[in-house]
Amino acid sequence: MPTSTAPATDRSPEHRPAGAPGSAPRAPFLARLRGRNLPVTAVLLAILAVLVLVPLVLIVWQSLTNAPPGEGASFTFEKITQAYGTSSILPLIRNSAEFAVGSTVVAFVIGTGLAYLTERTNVPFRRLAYGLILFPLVVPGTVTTTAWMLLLDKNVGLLNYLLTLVGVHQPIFSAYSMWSMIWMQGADRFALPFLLMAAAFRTLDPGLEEASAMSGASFPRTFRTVTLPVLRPAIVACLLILFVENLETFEVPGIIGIPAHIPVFATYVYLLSNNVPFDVNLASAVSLSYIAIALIAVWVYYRSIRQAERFAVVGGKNFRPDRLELHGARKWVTAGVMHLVLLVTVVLPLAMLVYLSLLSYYHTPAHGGVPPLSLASYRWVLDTPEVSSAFVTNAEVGIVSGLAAMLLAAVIAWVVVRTKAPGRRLIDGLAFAPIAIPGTVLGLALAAVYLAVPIGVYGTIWILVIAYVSKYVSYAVRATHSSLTQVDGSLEEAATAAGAGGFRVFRTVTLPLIAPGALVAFLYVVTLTFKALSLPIMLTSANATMLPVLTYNTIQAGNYSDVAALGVVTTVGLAVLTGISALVSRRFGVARISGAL
Amino acid sequence: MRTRLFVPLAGAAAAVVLLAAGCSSGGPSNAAAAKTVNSEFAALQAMPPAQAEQKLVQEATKEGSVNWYTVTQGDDANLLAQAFEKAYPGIKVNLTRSNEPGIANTFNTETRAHHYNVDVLDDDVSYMDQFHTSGLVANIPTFGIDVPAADRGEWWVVPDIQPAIISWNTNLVPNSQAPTNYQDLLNPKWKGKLVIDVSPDSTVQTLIASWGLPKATQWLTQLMNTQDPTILQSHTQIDQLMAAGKYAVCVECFAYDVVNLKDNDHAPLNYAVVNPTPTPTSPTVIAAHAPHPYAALLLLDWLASKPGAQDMAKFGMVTQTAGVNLGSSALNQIRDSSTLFLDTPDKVGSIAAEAQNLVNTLVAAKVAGSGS
Amino acid sequence: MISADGIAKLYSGGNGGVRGIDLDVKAGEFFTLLGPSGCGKTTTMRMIAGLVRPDAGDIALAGRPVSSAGAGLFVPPAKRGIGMVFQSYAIWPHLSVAQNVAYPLRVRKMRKAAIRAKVMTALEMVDLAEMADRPSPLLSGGQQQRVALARALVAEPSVLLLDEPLSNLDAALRQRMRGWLKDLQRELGVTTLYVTHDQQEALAMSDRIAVMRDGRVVQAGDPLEVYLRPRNRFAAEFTGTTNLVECGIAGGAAPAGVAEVDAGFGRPVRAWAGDAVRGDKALLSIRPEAIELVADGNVSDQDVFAGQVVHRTLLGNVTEYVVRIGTQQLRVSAGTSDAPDLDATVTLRLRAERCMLLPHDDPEAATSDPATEPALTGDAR
Repeated sequence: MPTSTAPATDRSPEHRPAGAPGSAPRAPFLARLRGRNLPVTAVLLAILAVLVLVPLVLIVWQSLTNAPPGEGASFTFEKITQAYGTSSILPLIRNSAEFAVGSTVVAFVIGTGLAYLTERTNVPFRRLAYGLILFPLVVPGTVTTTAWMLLLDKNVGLLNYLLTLVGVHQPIFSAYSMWSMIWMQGADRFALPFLLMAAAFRTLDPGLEEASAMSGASFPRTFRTVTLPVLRPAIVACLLILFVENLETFEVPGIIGIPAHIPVFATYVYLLSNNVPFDVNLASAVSLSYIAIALIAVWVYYRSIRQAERFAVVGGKNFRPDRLELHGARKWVTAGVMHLVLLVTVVLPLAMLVYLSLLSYYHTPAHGGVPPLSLASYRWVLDTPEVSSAFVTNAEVGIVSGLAAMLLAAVIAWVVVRTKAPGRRLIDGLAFAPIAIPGTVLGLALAAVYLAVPIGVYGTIWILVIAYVSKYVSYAVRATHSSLTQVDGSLEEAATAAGAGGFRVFRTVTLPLIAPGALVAFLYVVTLTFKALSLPIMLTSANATMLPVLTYNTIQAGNYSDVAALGVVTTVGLAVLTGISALVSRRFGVARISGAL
Repeated sequence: MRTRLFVPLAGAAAAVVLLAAGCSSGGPSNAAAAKTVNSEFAALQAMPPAQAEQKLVQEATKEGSVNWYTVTQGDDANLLAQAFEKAYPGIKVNLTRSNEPGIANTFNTETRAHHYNVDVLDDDVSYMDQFHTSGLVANIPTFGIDVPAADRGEWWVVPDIQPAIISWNTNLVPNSQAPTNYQDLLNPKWKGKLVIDVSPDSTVQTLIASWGLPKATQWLTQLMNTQDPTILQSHTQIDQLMAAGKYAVCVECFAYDVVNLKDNDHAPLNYAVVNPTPTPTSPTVIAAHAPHPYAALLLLDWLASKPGAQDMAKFGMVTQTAGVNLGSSALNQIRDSSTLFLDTPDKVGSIAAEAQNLVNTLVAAKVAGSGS
Repeated sequence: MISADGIAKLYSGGNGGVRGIDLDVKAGEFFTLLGPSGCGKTTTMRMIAGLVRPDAGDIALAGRPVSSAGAGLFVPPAKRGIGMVFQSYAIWPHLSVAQNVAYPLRVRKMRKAAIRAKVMTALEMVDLAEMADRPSPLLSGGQQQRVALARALVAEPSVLLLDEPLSNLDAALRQRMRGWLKDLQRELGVTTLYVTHDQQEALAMSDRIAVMRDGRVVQAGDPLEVYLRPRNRFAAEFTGTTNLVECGIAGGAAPAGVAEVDAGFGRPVRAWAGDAVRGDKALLSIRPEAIELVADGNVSDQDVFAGQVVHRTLLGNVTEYVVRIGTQQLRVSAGTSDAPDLDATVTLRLRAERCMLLPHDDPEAATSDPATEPALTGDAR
């Protein structure tokens, strides 16, 4: 979840006017480069077209026909009328919008509040807060949702039970409602707005607010007339990227929404696939509006990022970020409130998870006292071949996808940032677009494509790799792009002046310098493969079961303790991986991970 | 400038071309392939059993692996696969587990796209009939199979059965007040306290067979509309949540799971074996285009054999093979009960479609319903 | 107009702190805080602005106390009636030029028509009237700086604070702005506190300067006075290039006034000693341009010395050359047309009043008692 999720803009020094100091030696390098870049650009465009456009074209095609490709399909509008003619599409849109908007607001409020406190005040225990805020990034959503489900359940939830201990016998919480879905999703996703807004706060020139104070404005007035408007592009961008992610997420809607009879687009497509026979054309027709909503959101997001960049450039250099000094009681109360929020949103579900993993079957102490602890679930995780094979498959797919995404991203970022090759805007746009394609839809499309096309990819890990690379290359490009823009073009020019050719320069100067950012991109994609459910749920097969799907199936089977144990083991693994990444980045001096992300 | 538009257009054109190619591509026709697997099996059937067995093991080991698509929940499928691999080292079992519509769908979709991946398949009887009519399953030789005659047919075998009972949470419902038959469930005192699976096809089939369609329809209608039961996605999930105390009474629960929770985990559950006892089975078949036909037959044989049954019993599954002691005396008792109604393809046949229709209208429709 | 008494601010990192400063800026005066980065000059300005709360000391503006650490008084910056230009200009990117400038007036709830009139006046003052409705992100650095200035002045503040406003501009623009800014200030007569690390700016624009180092004022006074009569090594070096030669004072502890010192020139040099000089060792500070080239000078004159040119550097209108006198080498600068050739023998006059004796051991001795200072300095607090 990159913070500077902007599409790459060309800030290369080549854009200095000719006649500026040093422009003469630059021209020959570019000329040589331009000659060599056309094939690279063409190849990139072809790869991206296949990865991104083909599934989209297929969805559109399938929504206008009445059978999958290869089975005598003929053009017809009947699937579209079937999808949109009845009134059943309206609740779907309403639910999806409610869920996405609600969870976005919750995540944004929590994340921004925490970002403000940690970046712009002297609240104590900031390090601890950082750790807690970022921890949910390594916990799979399936697992947290299960923990919340059992915490909040009206009849057997742990929280309602604890309330009875203090005399409250009316159950207050419930797990199967839109409100609880919004809460679960929002409480799980505030790390992204935190990182984005913290970065925005950090690059906000405090002089802007001080100038307002010096002009006589009170603090509320300054906030209203200066702080908010200047932050507006960043805020809008943050809200939109959150919205798009919450619109396509599967974990909460699948685990809670389906039993609660609250279908959203993501789960609707999945439920359609459970009908026999699967009406792929209807699913495609429904997906059209799904994609449309996401595309609109992404387009507005794109524009806000542009505006945010303009505002950032105006700020100028050399400012000291000043912290609001809290004194005495105020300081400790603020710290207390901050950590209370973190306790409720982060620590509570984690604690529930660990507790759950140690039970043989879930029940509260309501009848028959505190249940005894057992390690049966951990034994299940360690001994079951299905589990270890899912781990192995996931690791394989993750590593291969991560590598592929990272390499593709490095080349894309380089072409877009460093060269003047024609078509690089299009490349950037194409690499960015998959953010708008919901995971379930992409899975649906890819399954159909590779069933029809006899390449032998269907049912293997390769279809998953293609899916993950398509979906996440955009994130990888962001991370590598930040890294690349921090490397001055003159470093590469020096290599050229010393006689190195284009590819050698890339290999020996560019790649090593962007390695930390590229590493972050790699590890981020790997982590996503262990967490995301929307993609693999439609693509799972005998030889390629991913961990999130295994977890989902185990939840469906009601083996909650096993789910919890699986979650704990996965989380520990991902945490270790991320820790290594942080250490490596710090050692090689890359700007903070949050910046690169 | 031209490059900008050219390549993405080329990509789109490529997509169209590929689709068109997919459209027109044929593949080996169904009939031809079926003949191959069926004819191989017919050849085996013609041999003396001992020789046939030998050839079977030989060819299966050569094939080296078998793809088993199953709806068996929990770890049972895993354990069975492991046991089979232990019995026949050199043959790897590739498991795909999913819920009933999922497996059927996968089989359907893949086969239609001429993507033949399924060797052995077990799924709900309603789908099996469809597959058989479409010529997607092969005929099975008779040698090497130990299950009683009622548990097998020309193209299907039922290695294990799932007797279903009505169960309740003893903390919420005292044993004296618990329901003892299906009509009891319509008692107003159970309103809002029942939980049912999203596809209780088995119970419905059994009731249609026992009471006739009109009475069964009336019962189900009243159950769904008046008693307002909670509908969940899987039986084991229902069992777990019953044990946790979330629901009071389960309309259709699997005996082996409830017995296991009750006797081994000491969950506060009890149950009643009602008359008739719906006994869902997952008929196991071999795909007509199985890529590993011999390994498939070997696996199916093993599942339906006495050693297979004994392993299953160890894992708590219920088989009807003679001379096999199940995991617990409770299960033995249930298995030997005379009220069992197995929903095998020959018994249930046309009723399956009726039952499925009823379930879709009254139960499944409520799940994918609109709004909260 | 601005008076600060013993203000101090301590930071845990140690940098940028202020360790007790007194200031008294008169009405209409252009007062500059000059020093390297980390010396506390910006912190001092921000304490006066109210953006930083002092740990100690009192501040009063136009006679009205605005901050007193002891009494717990602290008037927030919005209420101090100060105009401030930030180093980053702090132009609000979401507002147009006119809206930026109008902001302080809108806060004061002035009527729209009156605001517009004042804004245009302010913009005309900074030569940006035609940009009034432009979006501010489109402006160049120099233009933004002028907008910031217009904004600071539009509400007619009693005090103007300028925090290194020219440091982000290129050399040519900086020079032009320097003169322009000074003229504007003189025309308006607004009391101005200026912070910079550039000694040329400080010397060119200020009525008085205070040289700062490590949170303290090292020397304060009239720019020319500080330039000609630095009281210690730091002040001497920070305000311009100078020759520094270790010397011994004949006769031990020198009283204030002219003393004879042995600087290795062959015979004693007359130099002016401030009272900060202790013991029999001192530093002799002579600025390169203060050394006069005398054609055929008479070396029997006490102030005239003979030397040999060992190095020549042409700098345009001025040539810098290095002359060996006795055992020492001095840098001398002269107009290019007068500059001697390499290896030539020259005679140089070292006037006593241009030769300053500085304390040998204490590079940052603080300002001393005004009573003992030479008459030129005036009020040094």
